[in-house]
Amino acid sequence: MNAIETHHLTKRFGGFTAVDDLTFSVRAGEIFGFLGANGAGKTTAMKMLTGLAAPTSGDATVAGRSIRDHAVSVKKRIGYMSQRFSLYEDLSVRENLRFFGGVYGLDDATLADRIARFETTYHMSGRMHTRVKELPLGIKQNVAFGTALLHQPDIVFLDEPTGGVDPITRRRFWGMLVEEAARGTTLFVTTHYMDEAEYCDRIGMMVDGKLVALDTPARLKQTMGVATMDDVFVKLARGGAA
Amino acid sequence: MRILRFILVKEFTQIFRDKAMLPILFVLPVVQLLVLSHAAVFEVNGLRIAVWDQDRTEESRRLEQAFRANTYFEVVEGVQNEAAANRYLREGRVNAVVMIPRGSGVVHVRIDAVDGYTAGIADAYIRQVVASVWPPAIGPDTRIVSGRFRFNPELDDKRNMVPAILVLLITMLGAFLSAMNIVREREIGTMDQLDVTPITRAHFILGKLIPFWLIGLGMFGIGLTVAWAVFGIVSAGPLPVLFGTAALYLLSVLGLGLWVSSVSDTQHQAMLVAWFLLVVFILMSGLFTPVSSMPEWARHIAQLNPVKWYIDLVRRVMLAGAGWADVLPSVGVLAVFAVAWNSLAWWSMRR
Repeated sequence: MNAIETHHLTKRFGGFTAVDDLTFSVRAGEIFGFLGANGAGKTTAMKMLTGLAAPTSGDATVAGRSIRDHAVSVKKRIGYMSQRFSLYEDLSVRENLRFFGGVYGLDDATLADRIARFETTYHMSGRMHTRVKELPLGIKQNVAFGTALLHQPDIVFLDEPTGGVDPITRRRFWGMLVEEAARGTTLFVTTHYMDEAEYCDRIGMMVDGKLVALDTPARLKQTMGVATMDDVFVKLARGGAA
Repeated sequence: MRILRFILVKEFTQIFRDKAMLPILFVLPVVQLLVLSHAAVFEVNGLRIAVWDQDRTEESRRLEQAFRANTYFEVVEGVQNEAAANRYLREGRVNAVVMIPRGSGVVHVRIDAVDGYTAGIADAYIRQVVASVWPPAIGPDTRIVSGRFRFNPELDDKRNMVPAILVLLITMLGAFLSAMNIVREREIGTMDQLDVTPITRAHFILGKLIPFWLIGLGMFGIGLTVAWAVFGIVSAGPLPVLFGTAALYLLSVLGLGLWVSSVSDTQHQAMLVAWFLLVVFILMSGLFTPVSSMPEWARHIAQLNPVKWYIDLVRRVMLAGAGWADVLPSVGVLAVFAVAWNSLAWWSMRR
């Protein structure tokens, strides 16, 4: 079963086509890496898939529902984590969890249970009442990820989740992502770090609003005849085809 | 409803966690009422005048005594020639020079008219004093028609100012705080996060309006308490009318804040837009100058000013004891403002 399917998904701003006739699918439970240079249309595509922007034409099914017709029910089934760690810095970890869990409609018992589980999973005991602004960046990132997972979404969108974080913390974070995907959650990740692209099951590469490549990292490297994902990225971004 | 509950808990937690919030709620009403109601007083007191008596008769001395005995005047000594009279006026050491020429039985008055308002008052006061001592002296216009002032018999400006300042308080609170709060979500990036949740536009707007609506009403109550405790001013009209209309008025102010937030990307922009609108609204509200003395075009524009309508309404209730029946037309106007601004805000919210 596919977690995401897009059909000729297109977004135009005036005469500029930001996303051009995008058709692809993401399998349930995979880590899908969405790559592209700045301005390639990644963010716009992601905005349409998360219901932040309406497509000009085409459609997509996310968690089995059309983003055109069932935007609200799609929103209930997805989680979102952006590079800005959009938690409330003036609220404590617990207050953030209660708020985001509550607006996804979790009842009190479920909410208490999920928060308790969050506390053990992310080793946060003793820190639940700390204001988010007082946490180190790496921890904030874990909290943001845990918050995005609290309502047990089918798919989590991660928009450059590791921006500004040191390599060790990034590796640990990706360890967490791999574990979560093993539990069956689909992860749709954009990143600029090519070492991170290696962790993905499959990679989609955007150039000028079009999807120019879609395959596993290993096969991409093989077809392009290069050794690293870095080289794949550079070659594709300069106009080569897979 | 459950979603709204979680939003409200979050909003109240954030609002009261903000260190600036409690001072704004409790110190601002007290300071504004104390400072503004004392400073923005239109009564003219302590007029400095010099009496230059060339006549030196019993009659002229009686007039000079009358000025000295009058508490509105402070008689300044040392003007005994033309040069001194001019210098004292020019330097602002006196507001007026009253000169009594020898043997003529008339009074020459020179008034510093840099501030026309004070000059007019000084002129009227001086005429009254002269007329009381020398009835025929300045001519027919010194006859005083005695009238009775209603609602505020002592013409106490504080009784007139306090209701208006109460209105300003909740206007500023409502418009600024709501606008800044919403734009802040956009500025720190949490707006995108909210956009991907099932929170609808209605949830979001209600979650932002309800806290400031309640806080505005609370502030109105604090202001009324200060007015009573400090100035002994108690509303002549019923409190339910005051609070009921305040609730309605706050809706339109919050609608304005909402609209400002929808056209601003940063808190600075929101502040500027809100400040610009409020300055216009406040200057044209009749707080400092009566709307009836504005030029015709300005009077028409003032009809579109909710601050003007509400200051007028609160003054009617607090001073003249107006009840629901008396304020009903104004309530209708306030309701139109509330609906209009909130619709405009709803329509222009980009989410």
